[in-house]
Amino acid sequence: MTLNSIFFILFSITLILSSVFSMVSKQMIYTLLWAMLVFLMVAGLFLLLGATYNSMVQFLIYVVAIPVLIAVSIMLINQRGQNNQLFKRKYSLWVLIGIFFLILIIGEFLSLNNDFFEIIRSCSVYVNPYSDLYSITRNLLGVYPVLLLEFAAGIVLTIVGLSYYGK
Amino acid sequence: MLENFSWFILVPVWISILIMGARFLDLPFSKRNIVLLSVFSTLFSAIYCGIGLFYTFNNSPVEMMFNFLSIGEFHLQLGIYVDMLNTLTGLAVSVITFVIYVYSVFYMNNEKSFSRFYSLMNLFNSTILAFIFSPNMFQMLIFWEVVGAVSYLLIGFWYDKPKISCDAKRVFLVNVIGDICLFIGFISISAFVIAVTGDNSLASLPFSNLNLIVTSLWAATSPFFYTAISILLLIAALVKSAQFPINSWLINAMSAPTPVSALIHSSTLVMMGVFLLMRIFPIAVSNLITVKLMISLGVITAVITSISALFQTNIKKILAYSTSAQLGLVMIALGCYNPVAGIVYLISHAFIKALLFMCAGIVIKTVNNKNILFMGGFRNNIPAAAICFIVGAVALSGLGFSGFSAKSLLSVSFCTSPAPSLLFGFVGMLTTLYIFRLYFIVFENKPAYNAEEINNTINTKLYKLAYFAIIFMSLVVILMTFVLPKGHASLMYLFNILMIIAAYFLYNNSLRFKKCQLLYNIAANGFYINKFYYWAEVIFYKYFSACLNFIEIYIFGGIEYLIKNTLLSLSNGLHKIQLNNFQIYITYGIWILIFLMCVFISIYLFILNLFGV
Amino acid sequence: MGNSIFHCVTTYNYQIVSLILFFVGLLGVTLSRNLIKILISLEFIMNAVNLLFISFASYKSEQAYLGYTLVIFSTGMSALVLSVGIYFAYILHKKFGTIDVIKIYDKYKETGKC
Repeated sequence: MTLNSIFFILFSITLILSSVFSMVSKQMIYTLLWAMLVFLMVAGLFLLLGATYNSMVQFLIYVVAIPVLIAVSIMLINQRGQNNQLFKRKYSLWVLIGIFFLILIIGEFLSLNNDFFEIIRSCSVYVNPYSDLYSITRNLLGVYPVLLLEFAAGIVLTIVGLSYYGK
Repeated sequence: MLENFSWFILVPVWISILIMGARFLDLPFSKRNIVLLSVFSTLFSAIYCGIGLFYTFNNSPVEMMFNFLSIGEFHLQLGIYVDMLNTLTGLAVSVITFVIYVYSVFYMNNEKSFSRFYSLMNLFNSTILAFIFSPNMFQMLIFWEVVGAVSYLLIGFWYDKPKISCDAKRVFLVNVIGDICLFIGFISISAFVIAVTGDNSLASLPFSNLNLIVTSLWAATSPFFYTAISILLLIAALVKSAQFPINSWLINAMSAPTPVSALIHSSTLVMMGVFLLMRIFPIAVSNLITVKLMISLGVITAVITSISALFQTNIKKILAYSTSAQLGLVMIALGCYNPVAGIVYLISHAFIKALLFMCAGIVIKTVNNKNILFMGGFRNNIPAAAICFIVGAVALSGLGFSGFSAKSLLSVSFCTSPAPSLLFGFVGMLTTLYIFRLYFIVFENKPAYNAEEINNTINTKLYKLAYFAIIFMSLVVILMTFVLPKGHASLMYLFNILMIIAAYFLYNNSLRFKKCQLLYNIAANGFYINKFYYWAEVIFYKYFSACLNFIEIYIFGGIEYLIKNTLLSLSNGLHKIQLNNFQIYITYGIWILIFLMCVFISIYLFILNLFGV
Repeated sequence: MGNSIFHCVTTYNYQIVSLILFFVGLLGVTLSRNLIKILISLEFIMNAVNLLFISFASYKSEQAYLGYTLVIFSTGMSALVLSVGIYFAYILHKKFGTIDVIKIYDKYKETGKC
């Protein structure tokens, strides 16, 4: 039993439970808090997998920026007596059954006796000993200019939204 | 001579059309003219029938026909055919109709629709003459139906009374059974005969070629089909002559006016069935099963209806049951291969029964009631009716006049073995008993009504007309004795006289036989034949239709409901897809994903198995 | 699978966790009526996908950077989409007075305009 596996179990159980609580809770603000915990645990799992830069980005965006945004919107909307509960829809049973079957089928699929799945199952995590920041930056700005594209898209979306709001 | 003028027999047709046209066009056509036209037309046809009778003694039958319907090679011909049987029956019908036209003036004088009555009676007379003088079986079939329809109109003459209209409908519908049987029988005879001979002139089955038809029918059919055809024809005759399984319609038909009963339900209409059997005698009696059926049904009818007549209280129903019984005897005579006795008894019975009905009509008109318990002592009020009734009763029981000769002629056919003779004697004794019971209760008992009420109505001119009619009829009955061959008295005669004495002691001033409650109930209800039909048909039909209704509603309706609801839920599901609700899209997406993954996995496993991995 | 999770953590375990997170998100997207909750559930799904990507990237270390890069792009994109979605939620609240999707739909059906 290594430290890695202890942390993995801790993070993953916390993640699953808090995601479920987030969905089940009646108050919007509790949903948000449990969701923050989920995002935090995802950042932790990134860290365990060795993606340190991704983990930082995840922390900054999902645990700091987006909850603030959502909290502000909740404050603005601030509705009482809203139906936040799950399982109040007519077809909720069908969704549950469907998801159950989906899990069953995927499990069946993954437990097939095949070399590929055997490799996947037995593959341990390779943690890169070096810092990966340089490689990622080079990829983002040099090889694939995705960050630039992202900024441009954000600007365009903001302009569209503002023009709509202006009406 | 006769060839050119034989159409004159059907003179009443034109009179009927004339009266109906006058009614329709609202012409001023007085009662007197209507009656005179009707009476002289039927007298004319009677005279012409008499001439035809004398003519056909020495000559071969006359046949006159014209094409009525031509379909390719097939020619349906209508026309007239004159032989002994025709003219004899036609003469009887014409004479009876003549007398009853005179009598109807008395009975129907106060009716509003007097001219309708006479036009219908003329129509009936003309159609039955057309039936009797029909040259081929298809004309017989056509006028068989028409006579049924006209008798429906006559029975429902007072159609504004619900019970009478219901009775008329019932009689008509019961007679349709016989119509259908006759139709099937004639059509199949025609088909078989054409199949063998290939001669299209035989398609309408003319009576002049009856021997050829019978032999080719024998050649064409298997024994089963021959039996089936002859039994079908027998059923038609049984229905029309009110024989055992279907005899109850005659009782329902008694709600008609009394002249109609006297004309139709005593002599002419019920004669049609027996007349049909006589017309096609070779076909009907050449099969042993049919003959046995004929005899046994005749026996059952004679016994049952005689017993029923003994316990009735309605004067017309007694006479109706009596008619059924006498026709049963004729049916037995036909089954015993004695058609001459049959026709003689039939015609003499027609006159006698018309006479009895007319006497009963006078009585009914006097007290305005049909129940014999409200009558009595009419010998003093209307002595002519009493005397004529005695004449009719004596003739009916075979003690004298035409009935004596006819009955002794008929008894010859029963001499083959002791059992039919005993039966014949038994029925004869019962006949004597019930007809003299009627006489004693109606004419001899103490009056059960207030005598002052009826004194105003009798002894008018109309009554004299009615007296003329019944006296004429009783004279006919008496004179027929000299025409018929002489009869011979037997031991039966003594028994019948004893029965008269028994009737005097039993029914004069008392009403016995009511103490035997079981027999009384059975016989007064006509052996529950009507009840049986009610249970067998109406109740059965009711429950059968309830079952069908159940199937209709719960099985077919359930299938419909299932289809409807399946389609409805399907379309509701499809409607939900069309809504702008992405959450439901996702739900469908999950299920589509499941389906696709199942398909992919099965394809994957199939490929794995294919390469043996 | 001789090795238990306590002995050695494989990428397979990460993938299963991501699958569970994905299904929880799917449940929330499908069943919740609150629009903001739906958006949060969408983020769960995005995170599950990111986790899957990273776990697959960790399988082969030489080309892991490519996966990491894609995940950064995906993270930014999903954050942007979420902000726009919240903006729409706010507009809908201003318009209809509610962010319950069923009520919004009913009101849309009544008025016939958005």
